[in-house]
Amino acid sequence: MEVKKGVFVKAAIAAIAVFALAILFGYYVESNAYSYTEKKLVDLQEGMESSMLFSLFVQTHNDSESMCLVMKNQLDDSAQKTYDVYGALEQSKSTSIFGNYDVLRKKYFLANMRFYLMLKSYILSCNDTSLTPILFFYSTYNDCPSCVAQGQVLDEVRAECKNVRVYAFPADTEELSLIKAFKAYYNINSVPALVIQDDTYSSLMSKDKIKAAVGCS
Amino acid sequence: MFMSLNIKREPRPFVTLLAFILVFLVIAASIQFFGYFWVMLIPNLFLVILTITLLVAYFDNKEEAIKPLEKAPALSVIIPAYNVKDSVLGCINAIKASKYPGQMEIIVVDDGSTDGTRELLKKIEGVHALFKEKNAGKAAAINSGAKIAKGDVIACVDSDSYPVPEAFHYAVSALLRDERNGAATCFIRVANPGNNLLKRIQDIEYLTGFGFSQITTKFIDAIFVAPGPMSIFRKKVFLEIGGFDEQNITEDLEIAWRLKKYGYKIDYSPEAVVYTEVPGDLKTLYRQRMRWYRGKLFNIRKYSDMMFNKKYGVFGMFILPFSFSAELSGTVLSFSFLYLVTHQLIWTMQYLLSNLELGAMLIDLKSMVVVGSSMLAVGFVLVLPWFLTVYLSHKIANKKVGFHDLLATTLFLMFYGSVISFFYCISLFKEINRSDYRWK
Repeated sequence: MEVKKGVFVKAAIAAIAVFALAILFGYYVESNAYSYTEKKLVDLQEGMESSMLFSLFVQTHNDSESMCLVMKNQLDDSAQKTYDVYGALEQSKSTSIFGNYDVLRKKYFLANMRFYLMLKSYILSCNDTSLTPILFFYSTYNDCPSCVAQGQVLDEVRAECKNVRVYAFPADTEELSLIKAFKAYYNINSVPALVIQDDTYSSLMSKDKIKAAVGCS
Repeated sequence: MFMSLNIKREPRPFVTLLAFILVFLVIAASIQFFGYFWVMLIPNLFLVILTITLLVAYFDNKEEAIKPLEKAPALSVIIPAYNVKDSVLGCINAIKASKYPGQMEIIVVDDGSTDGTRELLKKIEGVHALFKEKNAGKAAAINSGAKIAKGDVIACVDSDSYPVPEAFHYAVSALLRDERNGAATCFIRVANPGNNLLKRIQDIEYLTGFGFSQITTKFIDAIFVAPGPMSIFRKKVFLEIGGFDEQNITEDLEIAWRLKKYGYKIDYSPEAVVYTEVPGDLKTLYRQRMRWYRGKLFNIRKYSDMMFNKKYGVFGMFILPFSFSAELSGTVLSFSFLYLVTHQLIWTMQYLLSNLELGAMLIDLKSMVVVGSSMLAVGFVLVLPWFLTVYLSHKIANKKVGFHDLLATTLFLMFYGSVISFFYCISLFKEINRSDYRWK
């Protein structure tokens, strides 16, 4: 039996087709995951936008009591959504092969900063000291097992203390200049680091210590 | 089956250690730079290209029907035997039951057995027994048998292998259908896999390796092994090329490559089914595969001039390089896995130290997830040709994929390759180390 000459040409075409199909299928699956995360982020941004507009509306109508109530509700509502988007983005960072999540991450951290500033603004203008924001700085690109452990402790604190709101930011990213400004302002030089009641803690903090710092028994 | 052969060499542990560190660093840097997925994908691409090429060869060709022999040549069946009193009788009986239309003699070469094989052989009628005082290895035993063989065709059969009654007829017909053929190979199947999961997995491996791969490499004139359980040769050619290499641990591979070097072709008959015993535990499998894979590396060096040599056609330009890529791919995959495990261990240690500092007992599973949905999607498409290969292998063997095969098939498709990759990697480093060859 003689070897058919066309075998290798056909095999090359078939191999390219299979590779292309594999890459396209992978790209399609990841695009869907990307769109899903993007949609969640857009929802988050819309919620934030509407709460900002509503607060402006209330401010113009000189009704501070209603404004505070609405802002608190909006901030409460957005808290869980923020954590969901954060979880999806962090997971995709390590398992994504095609998608560039940098744009989404940038949008997310921008939204997260706005939420943080809105919360600070709410606390000041509504004089509500029942809510305590915690800034959590961690590392994205370098392995940081202690950041993961600290994040888990914060999750537990968040679950036990309803007055706590955690805002996590990557300390080693150049994505947003505002993060750099935050780091400089709060004197963040290492990770993990926490900022509670404007005090910076640059070492690992146990659950009890955090709870004591936020006044949660 | 287990003939002894010891080849002592001077080990070089420093070179091996250096090679190990170098490969680890290269893989670690590649994973850091390109990502785990892409580093793992590249070696798998070699397998995909090879599989697709064989699939195209399969669909592009049609197996020629074997014509019945008009005049069957005299056949000498040679069985090398070393401490095989439990299996040799079954082998001889299977050969005696064969429906070969011509003259057939059975030569059993006892290679210095000490377990009673010798005494057993003396009692068996209709067998020409040759007794060697000193154990010299399987290749030497077959060569001794070939010297006294009267047939024009010789069949070498392992003492733990059992040809079906039609096997010799089909194999000889395949051998004689082209005068350029120097040898013909058979469809080696696993004997009695029973409920042994490892044997059942090897059953599928043999279906693909000795069924699908043999038939497709035949189509592209690139059969690269004359399997030990049973292969047949024109005696004239066998003697012309010098018989088996007695200092080679994979003499069945070596003789196939030497036949190619001499310009002979190797044919194959899927109807010539031969059942053989396979390892039933991982330790024995490991020993067997070390011999196979190290033997291949040894022969790649021996026949390096055939690699990428147009003179040897598809064999030299395609099969030989891809065959070597299996060792390289296995090494890349094994080291990637090693890197991941090392990385994860260091990570976990640091994480546990953080727990100590925090006074908490935390468990983190998210960091262990390294495979995303898109990776699974790409992997799924790339594994489809391999699924098709397994299906076609069953079809060639007229074997249905039953529900009870599901576990073995799944393990074969998903995990067995990783085990084999690991074996490939170890074999490569044993060769770098020049470890002794021990085959007992």
